[in-house]
Amino acid sequence: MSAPNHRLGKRQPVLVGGMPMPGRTERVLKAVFLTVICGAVVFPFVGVISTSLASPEEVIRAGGFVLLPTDGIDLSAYKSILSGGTVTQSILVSGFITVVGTTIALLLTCTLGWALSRRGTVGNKPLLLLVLVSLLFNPGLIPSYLVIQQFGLLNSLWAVILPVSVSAFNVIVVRAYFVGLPGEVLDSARIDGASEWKLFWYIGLPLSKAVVAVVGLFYAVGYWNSFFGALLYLSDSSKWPLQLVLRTYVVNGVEIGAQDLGGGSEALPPQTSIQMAILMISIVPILCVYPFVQRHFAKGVLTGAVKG
Amino acid sequence: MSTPDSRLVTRRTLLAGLGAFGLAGAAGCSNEGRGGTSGADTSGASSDVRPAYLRYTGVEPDLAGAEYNIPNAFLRYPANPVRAVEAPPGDGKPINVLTYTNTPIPPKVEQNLFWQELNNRVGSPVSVSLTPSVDYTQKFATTVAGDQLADIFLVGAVPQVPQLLQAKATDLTPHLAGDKIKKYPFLANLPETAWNACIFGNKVYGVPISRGAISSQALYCRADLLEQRGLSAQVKNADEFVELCKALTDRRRNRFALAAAPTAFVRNMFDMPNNWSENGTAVVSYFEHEAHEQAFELLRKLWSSGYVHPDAFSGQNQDLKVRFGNGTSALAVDTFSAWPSYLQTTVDPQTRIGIIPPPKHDGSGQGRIWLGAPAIGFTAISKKAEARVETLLAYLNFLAAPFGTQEYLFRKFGLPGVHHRVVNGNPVLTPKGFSETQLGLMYQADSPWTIFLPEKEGNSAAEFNAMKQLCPDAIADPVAGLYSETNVRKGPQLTETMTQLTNDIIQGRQPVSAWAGAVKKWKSGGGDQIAEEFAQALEASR
Repeated sequence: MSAPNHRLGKRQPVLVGGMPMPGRTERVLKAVFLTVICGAVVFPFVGVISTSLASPEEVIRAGGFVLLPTDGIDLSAYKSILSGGTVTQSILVSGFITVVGTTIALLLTCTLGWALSRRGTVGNKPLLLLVLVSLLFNPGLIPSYLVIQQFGLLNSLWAVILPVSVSAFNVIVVRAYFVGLPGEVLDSARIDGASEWKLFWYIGLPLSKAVVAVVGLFYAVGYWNSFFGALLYLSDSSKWPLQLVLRTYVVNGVEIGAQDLGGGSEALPPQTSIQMAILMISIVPILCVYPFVQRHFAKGVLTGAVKG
Repeated sequence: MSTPDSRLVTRRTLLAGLGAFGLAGAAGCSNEGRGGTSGADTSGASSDVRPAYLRYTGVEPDLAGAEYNIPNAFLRYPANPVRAVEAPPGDGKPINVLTYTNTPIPPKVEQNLFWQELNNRVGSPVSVSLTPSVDYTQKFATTVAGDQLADIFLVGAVPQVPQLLQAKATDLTPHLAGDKIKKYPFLANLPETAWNACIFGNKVYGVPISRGAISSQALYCRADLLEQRGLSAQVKNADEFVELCKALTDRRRNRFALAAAPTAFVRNMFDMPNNWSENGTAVVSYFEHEAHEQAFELLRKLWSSGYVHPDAFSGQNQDLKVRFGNGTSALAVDTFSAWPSYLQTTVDPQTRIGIIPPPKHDGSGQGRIWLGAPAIGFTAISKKAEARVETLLAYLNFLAAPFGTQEYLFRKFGLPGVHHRVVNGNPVLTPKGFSETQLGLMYQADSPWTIFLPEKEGNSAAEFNAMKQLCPDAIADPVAGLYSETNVRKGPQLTETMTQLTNDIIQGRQPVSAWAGAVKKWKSGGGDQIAEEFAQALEASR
């Protein structure tokens, strides 16, 4: 065993995680740099929150974007969105679509991914090819509509859930993860008499929590944010999900107001506040879920990416 | 969007009446293409089928605009509104409607008192399928493909409209042509030119949503700010306009005279035709007008001198109004129909809105603005509902009841005490009223526009007088309402390219000389074809 370094009488840099500890200047520079980057991320977000909470006069005075409200907090933008009950109802609809959709999608994706990852599944290769083809080619707008119509799904929430419940990309990611599972574990289970279904349910899935969490997040975000299917298939606006209802508040910069009312109305909050309030309402649920899934994120996605 | 130059205004003035249908995504819905048919073999808006115009005289306006071809103006809502429709138009069976909306969707009928009362007054349960206006084209295309069209549908900007109507829509000629329209007095109250949009192959296929003069663009000014600085709202030539912009700009105080580039206003100074002009039997695009280079020089000067707000080419339409409202910019080009939304964005109670008429660039007289498109679209009745056509027309007639009637008051303001309060004799929507009345009724059928700005004393008269001054001489688009298949298919992309170039030239990213080349490309890329089709449609419409 070699003598410890300090015995040599030469000053050695302190090691942090195997790396030499950076000098003071370097550390300050890093801190400044990281603060600036964080600021660049946080600054717009604070602006969004502040603008949604600022009073109408302040928003117009400030030219549309308020960093810190000085007139106090004004909830009129939220009130005007949440009054009338359409938005609250649509939150329920969106919740239903997201929860049910994600469950179905995960079930279908994992079972398909499992089947494709096992050698010897009947029609393994052609099936995989079919999945890959759907990655390259999208069905057109009108054919999709006709399919939905012929399944009798028009004006039903299933029209929004089912067509997007298997995403080829996610199937590939899940399959790659399953392929990477240690064969020995599965073999030993098989020797103990586990059926293919048991292998999937008791061995495969528990070992793949990371990828299931990530793919689940992908699906959930997708369902939560989707509006286009609803737009095409749901003619009854009381069945609209949140994103589509919110879209009617901000159709490409057309502001709600006097124009379409043809006369007097009690002043509405400025469009910018409404937009920012909408942003907050639609982003909060995702922000709440994200931290719980984040720890699986790198692992789940990377596995798929490298081996896919 | 519709008017070729208005893309720059598009992003900022989507709201504009004219824009409302343009939002649906294509030029097909603008003054550049409706009515008539694509081929030369069929005639366009011939006068023998055109529904007669019988002005409604049941309500006396405070300021009558008929003489000047502008909307009537009212200073107060008539105290005792007349009942214009005696019996409910409905037949008890449901009326399904497919249209778009620019407002948040209403609560469902069970929780919507306005909707329930509407069903009562109509005499049929009305079910409306609404789509945000920007997405309407796709919704409409898929609905047509799935053969799911409602009883009444707003015709979207899809190709082959004449063929579509022939196949899917009821021919309304036997009910509306000529004097037959008298049975529906409020549809007869829609201006003659608006019907061009609905006449295809010598048959009437729909009911127009009329706009006209109100969707003309003009230069708004903050009259109060001009007055404070001792500036006049009358400019006599291009130099005086530049001087005015200079006087209204103070970069250190974050003041920029123009909220956006005043492209339309400058083009008006050079007497450019409204999209198209007639040259013998041909029609020529304003793109080919000889004054573009001069106009661009002027616009570039305004931009490079910093008189235009630096965010003019980015951001949203709303920003324009915010800048105008908070005094950052004292000038903004917009349609007359946007007046109420400018009123709503004001901060300072002293704010006064005015209009600056365009002068001729060389000072040789008054410039001429472009007259807005007569209609922003039209609704048709499905062939499947042909047996109920009279009921459905009566319903549309009910929705077109003009300002001053009980029906109008209910349609726009709902029930007193519930949906509106009466302030100084004028109805003012409450938040509940705002939320419940948004059934897209104005995009099913609407009365002619009325100037009514009760928010602030004096504004109705100010807008009326500005329109009275500018609109009688406004330049009309000779092919407004006519249909060109190529225009529907290629028009939007072609126009987009030209608009992009316009913006680039103004900002100095492209030389002025690039315009001529682009026009050539536009012509060979479809412009000539569009011109030819419009010329044929115009010929056929006479």
